[in-house]
Amino acid sequence: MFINPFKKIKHSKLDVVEVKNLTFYYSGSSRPALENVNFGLAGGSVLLLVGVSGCGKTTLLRSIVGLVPKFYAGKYEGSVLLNGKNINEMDMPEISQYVGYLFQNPDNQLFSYTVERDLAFGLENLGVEKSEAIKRIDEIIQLLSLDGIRKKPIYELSDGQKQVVALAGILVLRPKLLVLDEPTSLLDPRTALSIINIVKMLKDKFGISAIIVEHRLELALEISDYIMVMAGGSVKMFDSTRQALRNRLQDYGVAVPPVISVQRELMCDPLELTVKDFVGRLHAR
Amino acid sequence: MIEVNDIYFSYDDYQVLNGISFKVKTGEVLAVVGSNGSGKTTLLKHLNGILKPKRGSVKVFGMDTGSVKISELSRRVGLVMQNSDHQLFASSVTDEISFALRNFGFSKIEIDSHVREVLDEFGLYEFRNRPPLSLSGGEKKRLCIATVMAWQPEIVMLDEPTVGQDAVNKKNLRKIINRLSQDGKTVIISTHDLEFLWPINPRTIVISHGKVLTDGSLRSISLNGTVFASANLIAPQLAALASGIGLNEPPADEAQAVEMIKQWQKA
Ligand SMILES: Nc1ncnc2c1ncn2[C@@H]1O[C@H](COP(=O)(O)OP(=O)(O)OP(=O)(O)O)[C@@H](O)[C@H]1O
Ligand SMILES: Nc1ncnc2c1ncn2[C@@H]1O[C@H](COP(=O)(O)OP(=O)(O)OP(=O)(O)O)[C@@H](O)[C@H]1O
Ligand SMILES: [Mg+2]
Ligand SMILES: [Mg+2]
Repeated sequence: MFINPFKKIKHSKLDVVEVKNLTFYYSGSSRPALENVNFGLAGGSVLLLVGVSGCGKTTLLRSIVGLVPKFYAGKYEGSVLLNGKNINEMDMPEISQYVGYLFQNPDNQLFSYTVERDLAFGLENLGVEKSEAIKRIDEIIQLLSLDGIRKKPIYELSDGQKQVVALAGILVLRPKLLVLDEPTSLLDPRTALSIINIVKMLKDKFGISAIIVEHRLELALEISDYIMVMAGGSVKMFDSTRQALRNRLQDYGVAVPPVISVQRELMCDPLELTVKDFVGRLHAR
Repeated sequence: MIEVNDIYFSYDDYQVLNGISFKVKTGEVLAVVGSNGSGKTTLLKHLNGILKPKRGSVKVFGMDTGSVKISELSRRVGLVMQNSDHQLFASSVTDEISFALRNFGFSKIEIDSHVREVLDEFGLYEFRNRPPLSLSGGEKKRLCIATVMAWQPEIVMLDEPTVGQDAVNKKNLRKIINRLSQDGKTVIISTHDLEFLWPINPRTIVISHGKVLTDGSLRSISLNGTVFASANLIAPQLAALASGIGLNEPPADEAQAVEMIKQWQKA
C-alpha cells in the first residue's frame, strides 16, 4: 500500500526537513540511488527510516545533511530544505549547526586523540566560549555515562564505545535535528535502549526532531512517530508507527519485532509496541 | 578443536580478560555476548593468534597459539572483523575476494569458482567490479563475510555479522551458519543482536568483567534476569513474553508463542 506522505504531515515552512522530488545518481552509476523522493517532517517528531540494505537510506541522510551533492558527485535533481531553506544555499558549518549527523561508521567522524578532545573539537570550531564548552562537555559525559573513558585515546576504544562517543560529539553541539544512521548498530542492548531514550528525552523536553535508520525495529518503535519504508531508492510507504506496523512491511524486506507479529496473529487492536505493554494487556484481560 | 585455558589479557595496564576458560567442539556454533567493552573482540583475536594471552593458554587444533605461526592459523581460522573498513583494501569486489585465495595458493579455476559462489550467495554479483569502499554499509559487511567464506576456513569467526543487515540478509546468514555447522565447520559469533541468534539457539557464553558469567543454550540462559542485567543484555522478546506470563519454557518462534498465549488465555 502506498500512502502519499504529503497527506500525513502538515506542510508548512516550519517543517524541519522537506525533501522534494529528489533524484540522485552516484557518478558512474546507471541506477538511481534515490528516485523522486518526497517527504517532510514536522518539528518535534521522530521518523524511523527502514528498508533493505542498499535501498538508499544512507544516501538520503547524506542528502539531508548536504554531503550529497557537496561531497558526492553525481546527477542531482530536486531539493532539500532545512527549516525552509535550501541546503544549496547553506554552507557546511551552517548546516552542521542545525543538523547533527551520526555516520553509519563512527570511525569516519572521530578525529581527535582522546574522547574529551573530540568533544571539544566541534565546540571550538563553532567558537563556543571555553567555560561554556567545559560545561557542555561535562553534561554530555554525564548523560552518556562516558566518565570511565573520558581521557582514553580514541584508537583504544571498542567499536561500541566509539559509536557512543561519536553521538556525544553531535549532541554536544545541540542541533535541532538529529540524523542518525544506525545509531545503535554496535551497542549492547541496554546501552542501545538508553541512547534511544535520550533521543526521546530530547524530543519531549526540547522539541528536537530525529530521523533514525534502524534495522532492529524493536529498539526504536516506542519513540517513533512515523515509519518510512524505502526500496530501490524510492519511498514506498510513509505512515504513523502503529499504522505502518499493520502493513505488509515484510514485502519490503523489513521484519517486524516478534511481539508485533504475535499480536498481529492474535488480531490485537491497538498494537502494543513493547513486550512489557503487551504482557500488561494480557494480564488486564 | 578450541581450548581456552584460564587466560588473562591486558592492553598495557588495562585489564580486559580475567581468567576465561571454555572449549569448543568441531561443528559447534558458539555465541559470545556481553556489554560494550567487555572484551568480545579481544577474545576472538586470541583464537586466531593475533593476540596472545599474558597468562593461560589457547589451543586450536591441538596447537598452542603461542608457538604456531599466525599465517598458518589465519588460513584455518577465518575472522570477519567488526569494522568492515579495517578489512577492505582492494580496488574491486572481485579482487577483494580473490586476494586471499591467491595468497593461500588456490588454483585459477578454484579461485574463479569460489569467487562466483560467494558473490551469488551474498547477493554481491552486481557489485563485482565496484570499489569495496563505495558499497553501502550492509553491502560491505556482506563482502567481508564472503571474503572469508571463500577460502573455507575450518573455523569461522564473525564479529558483529548482523550490523547493517536487513531481515532477508539475516535470514540468509542464519541459513549459512547452520549449513557451516552441518558441514562440520565451527562457527563463533560475537554479537549484540540476540533476536538474530534466537532461531539458531546456539550455545552462548556471556562475558562480564573479563570472566565467563554463564554458558548454555541461548534459550536456557535467557530466563536468567540477573545474569542478563549484569551483562547489559535484555532478554529477547519471546523470552520476555514467556516470563511475563509466568512460563519457564520460552517459545522457539512466533507461531509457538501464539499457541502458548492461546493456551494460557484458556487456562
Ligand atoms: N588497543 C587498545 N588499547 C587499550 N585498550 C583497548 C584497546 N583495544 C580495546 N581496548 C579496551 O579493551 C576493552 C575491550 O575491548 P573490546 O574491543 O574487546 O570490547 P568488545 O566487547 O568487543 O566491545 P564492543 O561490543 O563495543 O565491540 C574496552 O574497554 C576497550 O576500551
Ligand atoms: N559512493 C558511491 N558510489 C556508487 N554507488 C554508491 C555509492 N555509495 C552508495 N552507492 C550505492 O547506492 C545504493 C544505496 O546505498 P546506501 O548506502 O544509500 O544504502 P543503504 O540503504 O544505506 O544500505 P545499508 O543498509 O546497507 O547501509 C547501494 O546500492 C550502494 O551500493
Ligand atoms: Mg546505510
Ligand atoms: Mg567488539
